[in-house]
Amino acid sequence: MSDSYLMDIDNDGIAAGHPQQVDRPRFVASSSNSEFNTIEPRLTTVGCSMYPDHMFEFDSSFILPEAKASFTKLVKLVSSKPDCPLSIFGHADPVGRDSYNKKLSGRRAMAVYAVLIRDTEIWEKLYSNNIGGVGDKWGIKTTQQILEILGFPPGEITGSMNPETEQAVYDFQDKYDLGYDGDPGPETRGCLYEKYMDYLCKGGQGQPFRMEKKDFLAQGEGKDQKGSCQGCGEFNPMFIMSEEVWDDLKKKVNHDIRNKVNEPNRRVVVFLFAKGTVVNPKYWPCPSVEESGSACKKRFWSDGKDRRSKREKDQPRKFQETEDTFGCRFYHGLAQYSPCEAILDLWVIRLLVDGPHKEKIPLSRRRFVLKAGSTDNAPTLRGITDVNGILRIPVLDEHVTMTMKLDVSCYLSNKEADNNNPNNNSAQSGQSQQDPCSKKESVPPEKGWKDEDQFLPFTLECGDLLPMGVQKFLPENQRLYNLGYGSENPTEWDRQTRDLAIKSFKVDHDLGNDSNMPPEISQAIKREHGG
Amino acid sequence: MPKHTVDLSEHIAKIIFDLGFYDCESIWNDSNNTQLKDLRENGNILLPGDELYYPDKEQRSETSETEHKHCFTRKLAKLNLRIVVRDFCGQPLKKEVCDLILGNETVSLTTDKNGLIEHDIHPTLKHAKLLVPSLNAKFALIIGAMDPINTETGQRARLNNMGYFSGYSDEDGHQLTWAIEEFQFENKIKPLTGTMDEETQTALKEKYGC
Repeated sequence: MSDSYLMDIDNDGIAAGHPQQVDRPRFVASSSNSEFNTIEPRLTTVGCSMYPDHMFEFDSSFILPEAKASFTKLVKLVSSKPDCPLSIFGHADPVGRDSYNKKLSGRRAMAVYAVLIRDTEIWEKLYSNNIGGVGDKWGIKTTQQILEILGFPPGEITGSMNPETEQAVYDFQDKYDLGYDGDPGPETRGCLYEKYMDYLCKGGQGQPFRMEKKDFLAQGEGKDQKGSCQGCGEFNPMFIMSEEVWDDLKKKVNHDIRNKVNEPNRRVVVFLFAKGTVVNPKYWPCPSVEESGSACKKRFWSDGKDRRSKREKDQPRKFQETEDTFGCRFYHGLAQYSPCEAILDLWVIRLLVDGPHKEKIPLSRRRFVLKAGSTDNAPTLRGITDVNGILRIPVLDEHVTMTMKLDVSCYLSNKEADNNNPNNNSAQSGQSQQDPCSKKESVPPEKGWKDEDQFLPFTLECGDLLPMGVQKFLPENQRLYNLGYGSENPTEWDRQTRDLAIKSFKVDHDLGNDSNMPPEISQAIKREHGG
Repeated sequence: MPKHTVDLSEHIAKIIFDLGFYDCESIWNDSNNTQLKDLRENGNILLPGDELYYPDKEQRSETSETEHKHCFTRKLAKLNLRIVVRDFCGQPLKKEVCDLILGNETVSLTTDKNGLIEHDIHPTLKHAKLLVPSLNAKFALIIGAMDPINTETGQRARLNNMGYFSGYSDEDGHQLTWAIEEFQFENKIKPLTGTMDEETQTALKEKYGC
């Protein structure tokens, strides 16, 4: 049976199943005396979800409204792997002090954890800077951001109180029966946080999605969430800049660029552990968010210092290439097969269909099944195209034949968006009773969709597309073919086929009705194709 | 003296049972097997290709009367399967019920205060399953497949069993380094080297149990 796992990767983060680790038989010895065997289950991560840096305020643990998309991914992952306990790992970039970075990354992990279990007190602690005594400051700006997203316009978000913000607080207090004083104090913040957390973290039907402490690795038993939340600081960078780049970017004038380049290192990774994994926080190696990083350093590789800080002269070191940039050996073991710890390249494919006027319409929100490779055990990915008809597939091999099956008939409406629109509700519910597509699950079941055999198949020769200009004819032919012109196998087009394809393309795009191909037409083909 | 070449997952109890003997001790202690004994130390842990000498079978006569039913019982060497079960944090699993599945038979066993379960097994038993409900774990066991402590395969197998994933072949070299360093760390062997030096090997044998 082929591996089937969820893989949802884009700018909003990642949710992915890990490649399945086969637990092979244990080789044991019989004994005639006092000899024995020792058997311990291996701590196995089965999935991951990654919150990119831009979901947080810079240098802060405050979660921005954009993170809604990352939570949606996490919810999808958690729903596809029930009963797999979670543990959250925050990471910082290798700039600044170890102790500060460990605190900040831990605070980010706590912030995510608090949303998942709806613990507004943790946020209140983060706000008032009580976790570990060191750390970022939330301030009035975060209150303004939350008021804004909840529909209480606070005026310009300046980070200081102003009359409009005060009015927004009054309005909010009025709506939720809070003390009517215009002061966003702890009580008001608690309510704001609760509503905002519900906004951020929703289930597939648009309802607030909450988890329990017991859904986490240490079941909420550890002091300060030990075992469930931790900050790895800058101990486990995903990539390390080359010496040349670093020398340039460490100049003060370039610090903005340096911070941008370092962005992938600042991430929060949530791991899902194999079903039934239980950890006693007493024996969990990672220190809690409150504790110092000395326990982290004890768990380092013998060459951990080099791993996390050594620079190559002229090229960066990336974990997904060299697997040697994490200082912590324990984390290395959890993360090494994780798609969340790779800066993955993606195949980006846009699916279009001819509309009634020969215009191209994106095949949006269609279910697809993609087999990446031609062998029996090639991984199978299932998902849904986005509203622009785009699907993104991580590059596993440079050249690979993928077979894709697409559900051309069923458009899956975005239930959440529809539910959020109260005007739409009645009409929608009437419609969905007749529409068979509304009954389709948007999250792929473990064994695949029941009706996926009826999807329309395609073959994708990934890695075969030639860059424009490297060769005469073929790059254009390939793109024209992908856009639906010409006949099978663009490598073997004759003059006539090619001319007809160019002509049709030009007619469809009002660019003439001949088969000439000046550079601007070549560019138009490239643009239309997307690259 | 005839000799037997050890095949995959064979151990002395199985070999001598197949050959029709029962006394492991005397064969293992035979002077012809001194070299093997020194090399392997434990007759239950042999390497495929090892050679075990065994005596010719002796003919024995029994006198008995006709027209009577006579029962001859074949003696079996005593053989155990002893397993210490640990939880995800490496702590012994105390007083928990496990199921040991041996062919069609399921034996319910409770771990003692050291996490140990113990059960008699037949010398030819090769496959077994151990179910540990409190860990939601099921372990497939291959009895006799453990290689000696001084072989890389044997070291990998011990590390894997103890939860330090060490890979399965030379291609996973990096994984073996990972597992050895984790083992060294948790057993306070300093400095960490990531290589199976003598001290580490001794500790591995002691901690694993054979």
